[in-house]
Amino acid sequence: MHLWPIVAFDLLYMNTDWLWEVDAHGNLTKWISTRDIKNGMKSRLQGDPKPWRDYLRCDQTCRDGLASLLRAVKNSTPFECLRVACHLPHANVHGWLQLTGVPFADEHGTFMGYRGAAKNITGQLMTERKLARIDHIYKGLMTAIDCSASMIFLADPDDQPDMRIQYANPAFAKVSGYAKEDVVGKPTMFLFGEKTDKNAASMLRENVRRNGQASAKLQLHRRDGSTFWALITLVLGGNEGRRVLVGTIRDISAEMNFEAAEEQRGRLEAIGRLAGGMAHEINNLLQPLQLNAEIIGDELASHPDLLPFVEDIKASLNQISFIVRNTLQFSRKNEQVKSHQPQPFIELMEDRIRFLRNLIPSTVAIMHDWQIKPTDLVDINQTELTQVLTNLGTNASHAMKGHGTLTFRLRHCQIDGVRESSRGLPLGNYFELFVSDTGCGMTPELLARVFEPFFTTKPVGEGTGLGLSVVYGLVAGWGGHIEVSSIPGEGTTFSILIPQVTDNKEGE
Amino acid sequence: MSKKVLLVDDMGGIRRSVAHLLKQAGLEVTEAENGKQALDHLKNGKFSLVITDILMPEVDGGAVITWLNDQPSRPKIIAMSGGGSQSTADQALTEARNMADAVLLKPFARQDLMELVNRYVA
Repeated sequence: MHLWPIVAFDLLYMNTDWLWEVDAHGNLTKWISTRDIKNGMKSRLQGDPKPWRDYLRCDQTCRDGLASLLRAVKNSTPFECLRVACHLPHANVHGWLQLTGVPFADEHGTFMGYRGAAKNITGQLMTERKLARIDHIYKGLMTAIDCSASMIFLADPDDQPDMRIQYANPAFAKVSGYAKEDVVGKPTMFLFGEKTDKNAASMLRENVRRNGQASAKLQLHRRDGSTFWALITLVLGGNEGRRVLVGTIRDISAEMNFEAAEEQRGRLEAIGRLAGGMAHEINNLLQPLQLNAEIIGDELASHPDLLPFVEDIKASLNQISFIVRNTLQFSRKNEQVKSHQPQPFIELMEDRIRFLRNLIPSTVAIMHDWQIKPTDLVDINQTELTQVLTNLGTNASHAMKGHGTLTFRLRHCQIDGVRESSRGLPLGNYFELFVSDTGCGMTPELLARVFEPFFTTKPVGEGTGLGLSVVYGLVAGWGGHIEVSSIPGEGTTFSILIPQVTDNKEGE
Repeated sequence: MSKKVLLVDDMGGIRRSVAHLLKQAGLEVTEAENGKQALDHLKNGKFSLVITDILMPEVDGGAVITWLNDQPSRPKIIAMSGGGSQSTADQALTEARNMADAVLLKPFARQDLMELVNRYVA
């Protein structure tokens, strides 16, 4: 048998908690702590020696270490730094050891057993386990941050005044338009711009300084200059020695638009109820005026000088009933009017556009883009469609001051759950008709009110402010919905949803 | 013998002006202020034409029209309407209007009224 000298004990000593010896029968005979050696004490093992194997446990963490140990012992070869789980009451070790051992022989070369060193690695292993767990969580969090639709960044809060960004996730780059590497090193507030509310921005800065966290709804600027509404949250994290500013930015434009649309719908509905109720009362009161003016007019045949006065009454009455009728149209709901003959939508549109062409200056180009089939049918009142297109067309022409392009676009649109709630329409298939101009556009403040009856931007006397509210009512009467969007200086687009005629041949 | 017309509206001004024009046309006019009075008149006499408002206190015009439609034979009916209100009764109102022979939307002119009257009591 090949014998190994006891080597490198001095070296092991440095990194060793115990020295041990196992005899040729495999019994653990010595277990001396290195501290005890210094103090001249002997092995602390008590009672009859027990086989070394009894002290070891088989566990998941150190399964490989135990296997290697058993293999080495079987072959009487040395082993080094093997990790095993053990239970050593006398050494107060209930955890893990790192073992190094070499076989030894007597002067005749007879195998005497193993001698070696042991180190308690329980604490180290626990730390390693903890680190592995942290690493696992870290990787998971990084994946979440990488996949997050929210913009997430880290910055140095002690790097005043800029608090430059140290890390930004992919969403940050995607939403802001900056390359990821360009974001790092930029000041935390670098997306703030002229449209960002200055007070809210300084409040955000102040609150995070004072309370360690802050959030605000702000308009931020993308790289291309466009803006978006964001909910920005800043939280101071880390510890005293090394603080970190964690920022999240969520694009809430869609929510803000949704809220604004809902608010507008609610407001228009309330106005509609008011207008409907008032129109009803006024119409009743107008009735005697109307007939009495006619009755009195008859009697005045012998007083021709008074006739113009009666005519004035009648003219005013006509004007009033015109206004009231239009107001009523705004207030009407989906009336499910008796079915007209469904017509091919494109054909109908082209016919109406030819009519509109005569009303609009020739310096306005009229274009169209049909993304539906020529055979697709629509079931709406032609006169009402003319009224809607004329109103929108002449408004657009005014907005373009007689120069520009008016575009009609038709496409299919399926209303899913999200849109249904935002527009108050039932699920189903719709046509979406876009009417766009290249005119002066409207500010958000104007946009929010365009459908209100009597709201007008024209000088007093030039318009009743009923045109778009009538359009709103007519579209609602078709079971549809109209919305408007605009960019000041670039143009306005109305989008009209109109139910498609469902093919119910089976019912016929 | 002149033909009899029942005129139902809660507004005196409307009744007076409409009745005046009907009488001018040689018709005999009975006025009722609400649906309840109208039903009393209808149960006690025969009319060629009923001109009725729809929204009225107590028994409304809709009830009058519905009652008339349940009879074995009925006079012609012209409903007068101030236009859609946003009330929950909207549906019933529309149905009542649909049961009438014609609807006059207020404010209507003499010509609108007389054309219908001449058509139904000629």
